[in-house]
Parts: sequence; C-alpha cells; structure tokens
Amino acid sequence: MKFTRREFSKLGLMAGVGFGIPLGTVAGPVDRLAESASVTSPRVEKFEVPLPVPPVLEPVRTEGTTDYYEITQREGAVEILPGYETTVWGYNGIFPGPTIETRTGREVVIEQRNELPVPVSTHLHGGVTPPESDGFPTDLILPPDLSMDDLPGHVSGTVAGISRGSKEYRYPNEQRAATLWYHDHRMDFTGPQVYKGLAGFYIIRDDIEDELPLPHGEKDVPLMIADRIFTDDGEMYYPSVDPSLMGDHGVLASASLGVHTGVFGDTILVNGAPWPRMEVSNTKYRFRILNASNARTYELALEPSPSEGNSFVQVGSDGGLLSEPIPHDKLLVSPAERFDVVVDFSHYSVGSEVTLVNRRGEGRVSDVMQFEVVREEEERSEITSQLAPDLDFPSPDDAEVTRRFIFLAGMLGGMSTINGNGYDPERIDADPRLGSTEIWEFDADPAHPIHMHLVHFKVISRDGGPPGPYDAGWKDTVYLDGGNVRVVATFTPYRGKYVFHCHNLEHEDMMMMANFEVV
Amino acid sequence: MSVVIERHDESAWTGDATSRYFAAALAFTSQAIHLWILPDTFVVTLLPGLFFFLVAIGQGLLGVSLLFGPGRWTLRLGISFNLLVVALWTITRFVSLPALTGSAQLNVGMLGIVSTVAEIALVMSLLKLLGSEQ
Repeated sequence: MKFTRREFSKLGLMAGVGFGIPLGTVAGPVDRLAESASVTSPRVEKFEVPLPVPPVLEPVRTEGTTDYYEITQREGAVEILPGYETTVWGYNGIFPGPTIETRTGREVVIEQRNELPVPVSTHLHGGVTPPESDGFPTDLILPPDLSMDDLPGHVSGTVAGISRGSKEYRYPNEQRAATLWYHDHRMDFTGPQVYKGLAGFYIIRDDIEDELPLPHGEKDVPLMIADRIFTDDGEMYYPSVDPSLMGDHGVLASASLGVHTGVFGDTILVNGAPWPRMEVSNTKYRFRILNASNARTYELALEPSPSEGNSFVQVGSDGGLLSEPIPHDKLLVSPAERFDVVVDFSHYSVGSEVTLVNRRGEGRVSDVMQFEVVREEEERSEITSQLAPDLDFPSPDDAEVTRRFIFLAGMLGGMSTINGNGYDPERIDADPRLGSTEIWEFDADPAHPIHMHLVHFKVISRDGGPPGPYDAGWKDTVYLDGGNVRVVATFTPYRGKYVFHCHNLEHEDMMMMANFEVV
Repeated sequence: MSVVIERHDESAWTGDATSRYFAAALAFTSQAIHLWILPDTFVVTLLPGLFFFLVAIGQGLLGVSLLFGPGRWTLRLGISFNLLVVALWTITRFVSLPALTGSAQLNVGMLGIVSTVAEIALVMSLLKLLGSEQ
C-alpha cells in the first residue's frame, strides 16, 4: 500500500482530529462512570452485628395535648461497618434518626434545626399534615450561614416560605395508629440526603391498637431496611453529579443503566446495621417493616419457612391496622412502603437460625437479616381474627373525578416524568375539591412506587383486575411494576398545595413529581 | 506501506481553497462546541452525550476532509449530516423529549445558537462547493 505525503497527512489529521480529540475528551467522563459503577463495599461478615433499635426521642416539654421536640440535623460519625467510621447526615446526628412515638390526637411540634452544609426540608411520610408542615420540596430550611444566592437554581413555588436555621413543624396526628417515617424532601436532592441518613420512624399509637393482644414492648420492633454502598474507607458512596449537593443535581448516568434505574447499594442495612442478627424467643414478634431504600424493591421471605402456617401475618399497612390479618409467605415491599407483620417463631425449634431473605436480590443483597431462636418463652400475644374495626374506605361510586397519571422513567439518564411533564413547583397538576372523593389512575413504565402526600387511599383495581395481595388497607404508597392501578381517595382535611411523586428517589429528583392543590 | 513524496492526482478535489478552508473552519467550530459540552452531558445523560460525541467525530472528519479537497460524496454526506444536526437541535427546542434528552424543554443557549449558525453556514458552503464542482 502506497500513500502520498498529502494522503498520509490527511489520514493522520483524520485520526487525530476526527477520532483522537473526541476520544480524549470523552475518556474522562467514561472513566468517571466506570469508576462509579465499580465501587464495591468492604466485605462484611453477615449476621454478626446485633440489630440496633433506634432510640425513642423524649419531648423537651409537654403542654396539654401537645408534645414539643427538638431535632438537630447534623453530621455524625457512626460505626456502620465493623471497624469503619462512616459520616452520616442524621437527625441528631444518628442513622436512623430517633423514633418519635405519639398517640392519635396528641399534637406533636418539632423544631427542626439545620446544622448541615445544605438546605433541608422535612416530610412526615404518611402524615395527615397541614401544608405548611408537610415539607414541600422548596420550603427549605437553610443552614444559618447560607444565603439564598448560594443556592443552585431558582427556588420557587414555596408553600410556607424559606426558613433560616430552624423551622417548627406541627403534626396534629388526627389519624389512626400507624407506622410513619420522617425524611428529607429537599427539591432535587432528596435522594442523596436520605441516602446520607436523613430518615427516622414516627409511630402513632391509639386505644384500638392498645386493646389488641398483638406483640408489644420489646416484641414490637421497627425494621428500617435500606441498601447502601461504601467506599474502601467506610464512607457512603452516592453517585451525585455534584457531591457537594450545592451545584447541579442528579446522579451519574451509571445509575441509569438497565431496566431498573436509581441508586442501588450492595450492602443491606437494617436499622443502620449491615445484615444484623436478632435473638428471639419462640414466640410471636411484631415487625414494622419500612423499605427506606432509594430505589430497591424487596421480596422478603423467611428461610427456612416455618414448619406450619405462613411466614408472615400482615396486621397493618401504610395507614395502620388492617381490619383482618392477611397471611403471606412473601412480601413485596417497594421504597417507602410499610408492612406491619407478625412472625411466629414458635414454629421453629430453639437453636434455629431463620434468615429474612430478599428473593429479588442476588449475591450480597439476597439476604437481609437473621433471627436466632435462643430461648423458650410463654406466649402472651395473639393475632385476633378482627383487628381494627371495619375500615371506612371511600366508595369509588362517590368519585367526582377520575384523573390519569402516566409515570415514565427516563432512558440512560433522561428525565423521569408524569404525563410527560417534569416537576415544576409552581404548576398545579390536579385541583381536587376539599372533601371530595376522586379516583386516580396510575400507569407506570417500568416500575414506580407512587406516593401521595396528605391523603391515604384504597387500591381499587390493579391492571383491570382486583387489587393485588399487598394492596390491602389504607395506603399512601403503591407499587407498580409496570401496568396500572386505580386508587380512590378523599381529599381532606386541609386545603393547600401538596406533592405526589415516585418514591424511587432518583426518579423523584429527576423530576418525577407533581403538585395537587386541595381547593 | 510506503510514502510517495508527491503524486499529482487532484481529480477528486472540488471547489476553491478559500471556500474549502472556510467550510473546514465552520466544521471545526461545530466540533469544538460539541466537544466543550460533551463531558458534562455525557456523565449525566448518555444519549445526548453519545450524540455529541458522534457529532464531534463527524465534524472533525469533515473538517479535515475539506482541508484536503473532498469528493462529491463527502460533500453530500456533510450536507446531510449537518442538516440532521440542525434539524435535531431545532426539533428538541420545540418538542419536549425529556425521557431521552434529560430536560423537559431545552434552552436556546448561546453555544447552541453559534453551533447551529455554523452548521447552517457549513451546509451553504458545502452546497456552493458541490455546485462549483458540477
């Protein structure tokens, strides 16, 4: 093969300018994506760490029917992986945050102070909350020394305005006993801020629940399940575009590869401990299971299965007790959903090791935690055939309006939308009348846990058929693995602007959120 | 492989040198702009990132080819390629494709305008070169 000098120069320039410079330019980003996708947590021996239970926070004062609390959101150093120190952003510097326990009808007032380097907004998930205390995404609490000019982007559409340093949230708790949780809800940055630790339980109790002989006290155990990735030095790794969380929002495209997008960890934490172990007696235990993962859905099961009966008996859902218990051999729990279940360890002999597994996971994430039956004990609890009085769901026949919302995930880092729209804090996407009943139909592609603020709803159909096995009771979050569901809700008791969104937090941050205003 | 010092075969060359160099400068301008926005886009949204990468390669190859005297098919390909780039930019300013582009409504920014003007001027230059060649 012969080339003239001219042809040789042309080929050389073509190779250099045409391919070399573009390839050189893209090499850095490709490296960053590859590095992000290859982070693997330090190896941890499973079922060695005892299950921690988050401490219950005491009110700083009580007046009449109101309890006052103070929480400081700050950085903390905790030992999550044995032998490693991990920086968390926690409520009172711990992860999970302290549990708030209250009773129906007792008002809770929490002063949330922000000592983190970023703005925050706190949402009580499942709370029937006035709009100014609901943690609207742009109702930010700024750190004391941060100016509005330092904030990335434009802050608009606030409900209760911007606070500096601290904010008082008022929760009337005029609702049934239920397992709620509070977590960060900052516009565009909910994913990384919850991931860093801003989540805690909020449990409402009432007389109806107290009168039931369900397991209680030390046998009533909250389980916050969350997956995380850790770097070699034990710090949590989140693939933010801007890790300071003060610049561009969003995650690296490496979190958008595959069918299920979002940030998935390789280490399963329960109450902040990796694959913990819990010693139990051969009696019934009540577990309030919360999936606080950003994107991972779990299919929970017990291995081995009990010698008789079902693995789980569901007694409650997002919105509190069911009217009747429902037996399950597995539980499908999507992000933000709560399942209140009883496990009867009397079907295992003393010395048995019972593993809570995740059948949707492979390798490290196929296990969640382990129970060891270590002693015999007299059974003092019971699951009655009737739990709560018959639940008073709204009738679909009373619905004034049927609205349809299509949740479409972005491709390879594309924006996730509802009805083709990205989130705009100022746009109102639905305006239900106060006290009215509506049917909302959700379509999902591919998989989305859909959460409505303010209201609880009843799932009335799934893919045109009856509700699924995990749709029972009052819900505030419903999982769609494709297909559609129809729910019925009554919009009460507050007027105002609220959000509904996908609770895959990366989808939420990438705009899969919308506003409704109760008018 | 060997290098021949000179071979006087310029039958494939088209157009005058000034026009070709001007067109090449326009192609390199478009390439430079796409390379500038490539890294930030690529790490967040892969589809637009890959598109910018391919545009940068295409404009680079076209620019070099113009420096050395392209054949008719190169000119035709260059025209089609740049029309496609201009069309995609224009469409995505009016039609929202957030699931693909990562943004509900893409802004009309200065870089986009400069790049599009360069690409339109490039198409016109290539048409002129093609016309003069015929």
